[in-house]
Amino acid sequence: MLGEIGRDVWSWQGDAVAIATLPYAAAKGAVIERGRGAELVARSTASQIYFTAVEPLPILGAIAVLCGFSVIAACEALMRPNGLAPHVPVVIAQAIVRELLPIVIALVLIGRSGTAIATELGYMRVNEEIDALDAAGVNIDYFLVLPRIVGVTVSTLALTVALSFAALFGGFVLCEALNLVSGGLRFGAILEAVSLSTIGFATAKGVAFGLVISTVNCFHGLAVGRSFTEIPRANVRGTVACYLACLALNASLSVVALAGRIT
Amino acid sequence: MSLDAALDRVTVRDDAGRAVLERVTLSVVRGEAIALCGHNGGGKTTVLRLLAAMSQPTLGRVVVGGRDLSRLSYKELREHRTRVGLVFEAGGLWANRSVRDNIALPLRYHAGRVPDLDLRVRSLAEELDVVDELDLPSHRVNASVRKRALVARALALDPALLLCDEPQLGLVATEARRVARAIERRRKERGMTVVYADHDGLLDPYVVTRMVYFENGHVFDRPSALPPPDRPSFVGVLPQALGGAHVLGGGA
Repeated sequence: MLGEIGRDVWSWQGDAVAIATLPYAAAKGAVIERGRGAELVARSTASQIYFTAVEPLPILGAIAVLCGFSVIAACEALMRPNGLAPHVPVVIAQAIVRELLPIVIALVLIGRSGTAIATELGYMRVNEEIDALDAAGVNIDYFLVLPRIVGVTVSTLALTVALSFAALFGGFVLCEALNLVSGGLRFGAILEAVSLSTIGFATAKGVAFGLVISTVNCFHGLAVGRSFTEIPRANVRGTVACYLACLALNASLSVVALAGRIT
Repeated sequence: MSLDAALDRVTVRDDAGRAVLERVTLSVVRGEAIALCGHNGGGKTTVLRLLAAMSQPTLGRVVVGGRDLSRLSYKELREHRTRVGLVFEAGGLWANRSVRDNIALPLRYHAGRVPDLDLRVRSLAEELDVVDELDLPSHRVNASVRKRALVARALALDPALLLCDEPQLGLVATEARRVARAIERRRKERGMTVVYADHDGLLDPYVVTRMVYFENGHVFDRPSALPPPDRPSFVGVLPQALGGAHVLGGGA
């Protein structure tokens, strides 16, 4: 029993180190290859951005507006009657931009782009596509991993920033349409409450979540062996690891923000 | 442009510790076309992977073009892989790309913007009769086209050493002859060395200069004129005569 636990811990530790060094390996590959296949890598990165950020935009937009609506309606309903009206814009801005939107976007992308990456790379491994690329002298970290890391990270960052404002605006408009906002709350006041540090924290979360989602799933996809049955297992491992890592990161960054009284 | 290759007392063990190859010594001279024959699990594909520097032996040395493959720097390894073409048994094509993209991939990656890229891809496609399928996604074409596309991709960079895993698999006779002609032409014109893995002994004896038989991780020489090498008596005699080490010389 103790031996098994020890082996598991050792294995997790090994995986964690391999995952942490994967972005470095990808960046190193780009340096070593000196622009080899740059056109192919650029096209692959653009496809990843399109798949991660553009294709799901309508659904993510709707999710963002609904999140914004819930927070604004709750703040109006709970804070204003208790004499906390002056704090409503700040709480709305902090709750949506810094706390809620980055993690909601990350959770959606884990289920969409994360699983897609692990599945695609796992399938490529089983179908010997990765071996074939390797045999042709193609650097796998540079050619397959780098576009996915860059694509997902850039997408997560862009979605976090853009959808935060969509959530504020869409949520406000929806609340107003349903008469849930009192005349005292203006959209301009909410926007003014979004400080640079709040945007900074949100973008930091976006970058961190993007790195985690892409790297963890690239690792688990590439770790697939020769059997198709390993692909769903890689998927599950990648998804669970991403959920845990993103939620832990979100909590840690929020604690840092709260401890520093950053608003 | 040619490469010789040699396995020097090579042993390969799998994850379970089972010997896939056991003290195998084998040399392939420049311009030779050698066929590795034998049953599944005999170690043929393992030899191809060793020569492509896709895996390392547990013991012994693999030398290609005078270089020990275990001592190559990153740059030398990449150079080695651009000089060696590997045709996989069945998989290996980039599934979500067209046949054209697959054939062009090594050229696009290593040669950057090749001015006559389309022309070269088309010329290879014509030679292997996959022109009509060039713009189809590779997952939508049949096994025969996939196999010929794999051969075209392996030939794209004009390799000095071509490694072919079951080149006849999935091909009808005319297609197999076309593949054999494309390979043989390069061998005769440029001295390209070829190593085939051939499970069923289907290869045309005229495109093979030497046949080597694999059995349970050991290797035996055998002239290509003889019937398919599956007789136990042959398997048993040679290792004893060689005292346990299986040494084979090359010869075109």
